[in-house]
Order: sequence, then C-alpha cells, then structure tokens
Amino acid sequence: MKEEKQRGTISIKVKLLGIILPVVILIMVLLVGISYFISRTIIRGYSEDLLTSSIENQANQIEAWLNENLAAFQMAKQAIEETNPQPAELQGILDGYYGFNDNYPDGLYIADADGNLMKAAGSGKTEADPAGAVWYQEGLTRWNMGFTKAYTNDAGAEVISASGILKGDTGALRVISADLTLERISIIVNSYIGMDQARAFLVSSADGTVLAHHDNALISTKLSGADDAFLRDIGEKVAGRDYAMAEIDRNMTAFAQIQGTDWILVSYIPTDVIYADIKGVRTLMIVIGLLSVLVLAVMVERVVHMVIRPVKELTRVVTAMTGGDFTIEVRRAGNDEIGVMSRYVERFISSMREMIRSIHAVSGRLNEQAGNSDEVSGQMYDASRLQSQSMKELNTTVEQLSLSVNEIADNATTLAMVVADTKDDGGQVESRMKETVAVSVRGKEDMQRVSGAMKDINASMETLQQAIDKVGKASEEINDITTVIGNIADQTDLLSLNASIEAARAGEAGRGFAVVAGEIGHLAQTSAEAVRNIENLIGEINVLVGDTIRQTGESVKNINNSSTLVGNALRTFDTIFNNIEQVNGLVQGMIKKVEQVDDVATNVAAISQEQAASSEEILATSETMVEQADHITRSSERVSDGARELTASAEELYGQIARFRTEKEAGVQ
Amino acid sequence: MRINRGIRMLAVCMTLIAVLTVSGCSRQTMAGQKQIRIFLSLNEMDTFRQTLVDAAMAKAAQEGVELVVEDAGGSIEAQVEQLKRAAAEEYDVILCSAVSTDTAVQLKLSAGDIPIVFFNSCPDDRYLEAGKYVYVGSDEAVAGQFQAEYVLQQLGSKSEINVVLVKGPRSHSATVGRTNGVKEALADSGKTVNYVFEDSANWDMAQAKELFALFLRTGVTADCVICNNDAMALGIVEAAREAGIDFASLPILGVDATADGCAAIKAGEMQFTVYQSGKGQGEAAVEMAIRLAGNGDPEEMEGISEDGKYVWVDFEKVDGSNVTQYGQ
Repeated sequence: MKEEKQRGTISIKVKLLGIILPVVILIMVLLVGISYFISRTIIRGYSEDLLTSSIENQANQIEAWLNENLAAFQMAKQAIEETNPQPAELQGILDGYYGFNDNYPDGLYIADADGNLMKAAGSGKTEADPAGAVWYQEGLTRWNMGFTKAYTNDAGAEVISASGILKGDTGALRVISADLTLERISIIVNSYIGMDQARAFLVSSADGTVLAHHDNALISTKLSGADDAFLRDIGEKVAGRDYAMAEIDRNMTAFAQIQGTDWILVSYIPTDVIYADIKGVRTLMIVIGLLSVLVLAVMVERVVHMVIRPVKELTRVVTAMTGGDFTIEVRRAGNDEIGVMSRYVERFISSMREMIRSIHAVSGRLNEQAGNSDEVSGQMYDASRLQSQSMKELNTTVEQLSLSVNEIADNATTLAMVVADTKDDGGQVESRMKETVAVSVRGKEDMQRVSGAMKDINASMETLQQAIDKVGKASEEINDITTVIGNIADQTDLLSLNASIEAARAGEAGRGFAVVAGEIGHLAQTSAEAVRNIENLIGEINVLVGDTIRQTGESVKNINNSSTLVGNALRTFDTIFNNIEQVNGLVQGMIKKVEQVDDVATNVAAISQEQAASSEEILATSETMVEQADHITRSSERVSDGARELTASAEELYGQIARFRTEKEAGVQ
Repeated sequence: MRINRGIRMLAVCMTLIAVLTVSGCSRQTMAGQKQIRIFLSLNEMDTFRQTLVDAAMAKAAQEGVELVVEDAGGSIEAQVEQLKRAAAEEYDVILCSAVSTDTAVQLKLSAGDIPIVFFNSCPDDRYLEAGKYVYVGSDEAVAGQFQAEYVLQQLGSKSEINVVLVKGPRSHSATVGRTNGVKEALADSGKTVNYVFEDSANWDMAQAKELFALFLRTGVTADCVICNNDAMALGIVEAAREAGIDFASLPILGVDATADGCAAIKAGEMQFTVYQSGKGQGEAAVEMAIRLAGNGDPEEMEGISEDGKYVWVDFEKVDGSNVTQYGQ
C-alpha cells in the first residue's frame, strides 16, 4: 500500500507547488521584465527629451554667442562704412575696438587686395600674405560679416574668422575680419551643456572638421580620420545629413544645426549613464521577486500542509474502507469543508456498518435457503425423471396394445371375408339342392311313368343311376363345404377367444369389444354345430343314395321281373324327395345363419378398425405425454442447475459480505 | 433562464449598436447641416497672401463653409487677440499665418481647444500635432532642389560651378529651407561647387542689386545666381544689366513666380523661378480645416506627411517654356 502510494501518486503539496511556483515565477519574471522594459522606455524618452532640450538650448546659446559677436563686428563694420574714415581715423577706430572683447583678442583687422594689413596698434596679429589668407578669400564672398571655416592662423592658433567686404570709396576691395579661437569656442560649447554627464562638440557639416571639443587635441581634425569609432560614425551621419537622434556606439546622440552657419552641434550621453539607475531598480526588483517567490513557496507549503492534514486522515479512513474495514473510527477535524466531509464520512461508515451487518445476515439466510432449494430441486428432478421413465413404459404398452388392436382388426376383416365366401358357398348349395329337388321330381315322374313304359325303364334307370351318382358327388361336395365352414367356425371361435383376451388386456377400452368377441365366439360355435348337423345329414344322404343305387340295380333286375317293385320305388322316391326337401330347408337355415355371421363379422371388422384408430390416438397421446415428461425432466434439470447456481451465488455473496468487517476483532489493527 | 438572459444581453447590445449608429449618423448630418465656421488670421497682407486668401475664400464658398478673414497687420498682440476672440466665438477651426512662428505656443493657448491650421510660415516641428495643429505649405527645400536641378541641367557640362547665392533673412525658415535645398542638391551632384558670393539681401531687390554690384567688383566670374526669391533675383537682373552682362550666359534664378519675376523670364532676363501655389495652399488650408472640423479624416488628406503634421502643396517649376501660364 505504502509502495503503491509512493509509486502512483503525487502529493497535493507537490502538485500545488508545481503549479503555483512556475506561474508565480513566470509572473515575477514578466513583471520585472515588463517593468524594466517600460521604465527603460520611459527613462529613454525622458533622456531623449532632456538631451534634445539640452542640445537645443546649447545651440541657441551658441547661436546667440556667435550672433552677438557677429553683431558687434557688423556694428563696427557699419560704423566704419558710414563714416568712411581716412586711414588715420580708421586706425583709431581699430585701436578703439582692440581689447574691447576678449573673445577676439587680436581685435579687428583689415586687408586689401594689395596685401596691406591694417590692425590695432597693440594687436599681435600677423599675416604674411593677407590677400591669400582664408579669412580674406572667404570675406570676399559676402558683404555681411560671416564666419569662415576653421583654419590655423599665422600665429599657429586654431581659429575661425568673422569676415566680410568693407565697402568704401577707395578703389581696392577691403576685407574686415576678426579671429575667434576654437579653444574659446570649445569653452563656450562645453559651458552650455544642459544635461549632466552629457558631452558636446561642434562639427562643420561642410568638411566634417571638429570645431570644438572638450579634448583640444581633436580640434581641427576630421571626423572621418578619427581613431574613435564613435566619432567616425558621427562623421558618417553628418556627411549623410542625417540629424535625427540616434544611439551610436552605446551613446545617445543628438544633433543640432547652428543657424547662420554650417556647423553641427553634436551632444551625446552614454546609455550606461542613462540606464544606470534603472539597472539598480531592476536588480532590486529581481531580489524582491526572488524573496517573494521564496516566501510564497514557504507559505504555500505550510498552508497546504495544514489543509491536507485532515485529508490525510480521511485518506486513511477511505483506504481502510476500500479494504472492507468499516470498524475504523474517523477523527474529527476542524469546522471547515474537510471537517464537514469527515463528519459525513463518519456517518457514512456507521450507516454502511449497519447495512453490511444486515446484508450479512440476509445473505446467510439466503445461503441456507439456497441450499434447501437445491436439495428440493434435486428431489424434483429425480421424481420427474422417474415419471418420465414410467411414461415411456406406458407408451411401450400402449404401442403394443395398438399393434394388437390392429391385428384384431385385420383378423376381423379376414373373418368377415371368409364368412362372405361361406355365404356364397351356401348359395351354391341351395341351387344344387333345388336342382336335386327338380331331378327327384323328374325321377318321381319317371317312376310314375315306369309302370306305363317299362321299356324305357332300363334307360331311365341308367339316367337315374347317373343322377344318383351326381347326388352322391354333390353330397360329397356339400360335405367338403361344411368341412370348410366348420374349420372357419373353429377359427372364428379361436379368434373371438383371442379378442376377448386382448380386450381384457385393453381394460376399460376393450370391454365393449370383449362382448362382441364373445358373441362372435358364440356364433362360431353355432355355425360349427350346424355344420356338424349338415355332415350328419349328408352322411345319411350318402347312405340313402348308396341304398338307392343298390335298390335301383335290384329294381332294374326286378323291373324286368316285377312291375310291383316300381311302386315301391316310387314310394322310395317320395321319401327321397321329402328328405331332399328337408335338406333344402336345413341348407336355407344354414345360409341365414351364415349371413348373420357375415353381418357380425363385418361389424367386428368395422369396430376393430375404429378400435385401431383409437389406439393410434392413444399412442399419439401417450407419446406427447412422454415428450412432456421429458420436458419436465429437462426443466427440472434446469431448475436444479439454477438452484445450484443460486447456492453458489449465495455462497459467494456470503463470502463477499464476510470481507466487510463491522466489528472489531482481536488482532486487527 | 440562461437563454433569456442571453437574449436580453443581445437585445441590449443591438440597441446600443443601433443608438450608436443613429447618433453617429445624426452627428454627421448635424456636422453637414451645421455650417462649419473658420477663422483666418493673417500676419500681414501681400500679393502672395492675397492669392492664398482669395483661393481660400473661393474654396470655402464652394464647400459651403463660413470663412472670416482678419489681418493682424504684423502685430503679434493683434494676432493673439484675434485668436482669443475666435475661441470665444467658438469657431470650429482657425487658419493662421503666424506673425512670428516663435509665438506658436501662445497662439495655441489663445485658441483653446480649437484646431489650428498654420500656413505661410511654419512653426517648429515640436509645436505641431497630427489632427490638431497642422501646417499647410510647400516644402521650401523642394524649391531649392528645383533651382539646383535647373542649374545642373543648364551647366551640366561644367565640372566646377561658381555659384552666387543671394539669401533671405538669416534665420527665416524659407531662407534656411531653400538654401539647404540648393546646397544639398548641388553637393549631391558630385560637382565642385564654389559659392563665390553668399550673402543675405533680406528679400530686398535693392540690397540684392547692391550686393551683386559689390560681388562684381571682386572680379570673380559667376556661372549662375541663385536667389531665395524673385525680388532679389530682379535686383541681380538690374545689377547685371547695368554691368552689361549677357543674361543668356548668366542664369538668374528666383522663387515665387511673382508677376515681375515671370515678366523677367519672358524678357529673358531671369531664367527660372519656382511657383509656390498660393491658390493650392489656400485651398488645401480650407480643406484641412473642414476635415479637422470633423467632416473627413485629416490623415486621408492629399499631400499629408507621414507623421500627419504637414500638408505639402507642390511647387511648380517655371521657366521660359511655361512662363505664360504664370504671373497673371
């Protein structure tokens, strides 16, 4: 359990810290980053504004300074032009301006095209070739005083001059000029810087010469030839006339054009200086951010620890419950959501305990009942199997019965046929008897005529003899027929006996049939008796016929001798005739009896056929019964299986319920 | 319940949109109905400004807006007073040619919340603001460029050019812009350019004449004379005529295409000038004013600069070939 917990689960504390800390760190980083970026942008904006305002101010100051000087020169020049002085007066004016302003210590000086240089008396200005000097050449291009480019004067000083044509009546053109040293200009430039730690220098946009720089060594040098990459880059910008503020080589750099000149004032401040403060702020923010994250981590850890302590307790309880242990006790924890949860878990456990107890009891009973039911269903199964078997046996018996009935029906049919044949034979006997009667009538008539015509007697006697022979033959045939009838009767009797037995076997169903069989037997015996009577009569006929033959023979012998005997013969004939009449009657009676037998036999056949059909039905019914019995057996088998399953389930249920412990046992922790 | 709430929210949104749309429409129609009132404060009337004001009046009449013109007569105080009055009378826009561009801040303050279209003289860039304080004018540097282009075209065969440059007042914005335009364009040509004489004649013909006479005394040969305006160019013409210089060999260039200047070109005395379209500036100023009054987007204005602070009206080159179209 412990292992599983360690393997499969991650604690809430780790999860929470895992989610919160990265998010907080991310937020902190973003916050610090964004703050830094924004502050940087703002500071940069301020610095740009400051630098812009500084350089503009500086440019204005320089312009003002230049204009002031230029205006002073211009005023002096105008004064000279207006007074149009003589050379001596002009010298006086120049002397007067000398030392007037230390920006141009050499004072004003004038040169003409002929190379004459006029200067103040105290001025140290020298010029080897005034007409070829920069100030003179440039001065010739304007009447208003303007500044020349930077150059080195004869005294070796880096200067610019303010110069212009001096109008006058004299024929030669004169140029008036004054020198301003670049060193002085540099001092002026650097004095007017309005931003702390910013630097400035002045460049001529015409040729990229440095006019003023805090590093005097750079004055008069070209930016393009500078050792410093920053200066070279500025040189490129100036050459490209790109005077927009830009960050060049980690310096924020601003440019300003000095009005009235082609000078460019360049002011710059290192970005490190600008961002120094913001870097401090950034470091502080990072430190605060780290501390915050740390404090947060500790707080989260503590809070989570406090919060999940009761959860752990609940986990213990739930784990025990999962293992089926409902004996566990819930320790109350606080009045927050988890406390509420604990109370409800406690209630849950107690209600579960009750429930499991009652389920336990119920399942015990159920198990018992299932056992009983199993037993009962076993018995039921056995009983149904027995019943099925009995039904099968009964079926076999009925089948046999059916067979027997069929046999009886067949026999009865045969009997009926035989009886019908007997009836036909009886008919023949009757016709023969009639013939016999007719012949005996003719015999009698002949005998009556015997006395009349004795000569025909002999022939007649022979005919008579033949007729008698025929009678004898007919008697024999009758005898044969009766023998047959007798046999039939015997057989019928036997059959009826059998039928009775079978009827007795069929029980109630065969009772009617037994009566019929009895009647058949009775008829058969009567038939046999009649046959015996016929036999006896025929025997007598045969004897009489024999006697007749003998007597006829004697008569033939005696006819010749005695006609009296004819009379005797006639009487004998009458007797014969009577006997034949008697026989005829008997035969008639016999035929009637046989017809009765025929009817009975036909009935028997019909009845026995019905019987056979009934027994088929009985058979079918009993087969259905067998099927049903089988069905019952199978069903009871299933019931038995079900009961067994029920028993198994009840046992399993009992086993499962037994897992739940609701009462403390000794040795169970 | 939830669906109902959703439907209700939707209905509210739709209503809001409808109201906004309607109010937006009504505002527009109101702006269309309510006459836009424009106040024009002129520094001081001259011929060029007259052209400009006439064009502005015509444009205003055409657009159906009210335009009141007052001349400050070169007085800063009068101009400030005019702007204060315009603000009090709640004009929609003020057109202003500043007596002094240094007073831009004071002018803006006097106008209160009313947008100002500056023209004729341009205040410093930092005093302008897109959609509020706009300058309508022509880029002076372009005039200088046009002059330089003409010179280079005429003297293209020379590798070294001697230029006489006659400028306006030292720190005048037109002087600076036009001079820089000339110098930069010439420098970019790669030729050696010698400014054999470069001085200010303060827009003045007589001063220019005097300067050129002085220059002629130096004996240096000039290849061309470039002046910041036509008046000074005419002064050069006079000086040259007196000195007997052949005008064909000395191109004299001016700016402004004034009637006199154009006449001089026709006479073959001057060769080139640049027409600053007073009419175009007047019309553009009124159009910008209408847009600033809410009837159109100022940023969509033709000729607006990228930063939205300037509306540049094109200069036109005037020489012998097309001079008849100008100077009337």
